Amino acid sequence: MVSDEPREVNRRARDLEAEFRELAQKLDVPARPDYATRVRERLESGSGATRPTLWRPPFGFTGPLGRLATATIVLVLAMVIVLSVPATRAAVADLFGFAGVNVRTAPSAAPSPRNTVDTALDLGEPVTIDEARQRVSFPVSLPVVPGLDAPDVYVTDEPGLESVSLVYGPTTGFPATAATHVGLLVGEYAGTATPYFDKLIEAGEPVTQVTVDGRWPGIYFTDPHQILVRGPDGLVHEDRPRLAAPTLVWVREGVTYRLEGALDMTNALAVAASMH
Amino acid sequence: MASAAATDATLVEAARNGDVASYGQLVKRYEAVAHRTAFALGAGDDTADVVQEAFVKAYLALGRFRVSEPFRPWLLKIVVNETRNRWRWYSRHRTVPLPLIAQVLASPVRTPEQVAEENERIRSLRDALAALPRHQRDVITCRYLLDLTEDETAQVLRIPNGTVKSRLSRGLAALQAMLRPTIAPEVVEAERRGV
Repeated sequence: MVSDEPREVNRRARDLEAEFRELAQKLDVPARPDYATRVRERLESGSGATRPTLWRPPFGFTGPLGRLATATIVLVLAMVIVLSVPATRAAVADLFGFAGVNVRTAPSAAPSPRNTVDTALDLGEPVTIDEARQRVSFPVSLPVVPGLDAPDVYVTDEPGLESVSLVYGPTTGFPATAATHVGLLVGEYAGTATPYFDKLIEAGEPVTQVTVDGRWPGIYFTDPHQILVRGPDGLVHEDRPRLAAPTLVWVREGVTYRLEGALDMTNALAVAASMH
Repeated sequence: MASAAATDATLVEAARNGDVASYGQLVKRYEAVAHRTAFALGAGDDTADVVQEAFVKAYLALGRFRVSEPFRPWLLKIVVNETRNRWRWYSRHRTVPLPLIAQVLASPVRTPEQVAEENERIRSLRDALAALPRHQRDVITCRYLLDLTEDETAQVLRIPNGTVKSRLSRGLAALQAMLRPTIAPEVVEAERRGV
């Protein structure tokens, strides 16, 4: 089969670098206005009081949307952005640049994860399981596995963004992971992310395509990955990277599930299949 | 370029004291790179608005600028942030703008076939770049299309240097995979024969 010599790979990388550097010359940059004058006029126009226009959201978005943009960030799998949009495949491709479980080896100098799951992960509001069931529109499932205590439950029910998170403390069989400090973290999100999976796999990310419970499409990955965050404003925020443990993501009947813990693929699939 | 840095610092100091004209000099000095950066990172038709807004925000943030640091990456960071605000708006509307790259014009030293081939290659490169996940695309854009240093790229995109390196290599690998059939047909052919 195909086996690239490192030297050959490096050569091709250098060629490609050179090509992109050349491409820089062909960037069709639009004509540049006289910024100095424009900025000066802006700064002088309000007799020093330029602040009111400063935080003008793009295209004059004001009011709740503008305020939401600065609201607390809710951590959630960014795939939800795909879920929340009635996406065509093309749209998914457009969004992919913003969204995703970015499965990549984390640099050694990556930001260290926070210590407690509730504050670190911003999973939403702590609730009882019954309350969670009332607040989201999809049926909430729990893993049925010996050795797991009752979970802490968190819910997010922002418009367009519904999720329930189950946090299980470390036990035998579910040791605390370095990334989360908990034994098992289960996320359930309203929506379907199948096209997103396809894209992830097409992009050549080191993931394993799996089938959960013999039926449901999913992916499993062990490399530490970053999770993008999405705020209640519907925007994706990349500024709070977190390392994640081995993760299984799958879609079942319109709900996307995410399971994170120190589990090999077989065990992760077993836990996933037990979700009821 | 110690003298240039000192001049930046002087202008910043003056601007902090309310001297808008000094700030105007800084704007003039960096408007080209700011404009190009915003456009290359996807500000599209909004480039002029984005850059103007970034300069105004930078002015108001001058109090937080450390004069011992270089001004250019500090400013570009604000430009990138402003550009991202635009993307985010776009992302809700599913029309993410991508930098357009002009085609090679016909030239007396090239045959029409060569021009067509070159245009095709440019299109492939552009499409491959567009298909990359945004975080990889940004690093490739900063390093190669904008010719920023690794340090500047890290600062501008607010990521560690190690992340710049890893995204760059991952991005290049992905680009190679996407472009393989056209980048090195002889290699593909060799592999085919080797199978």
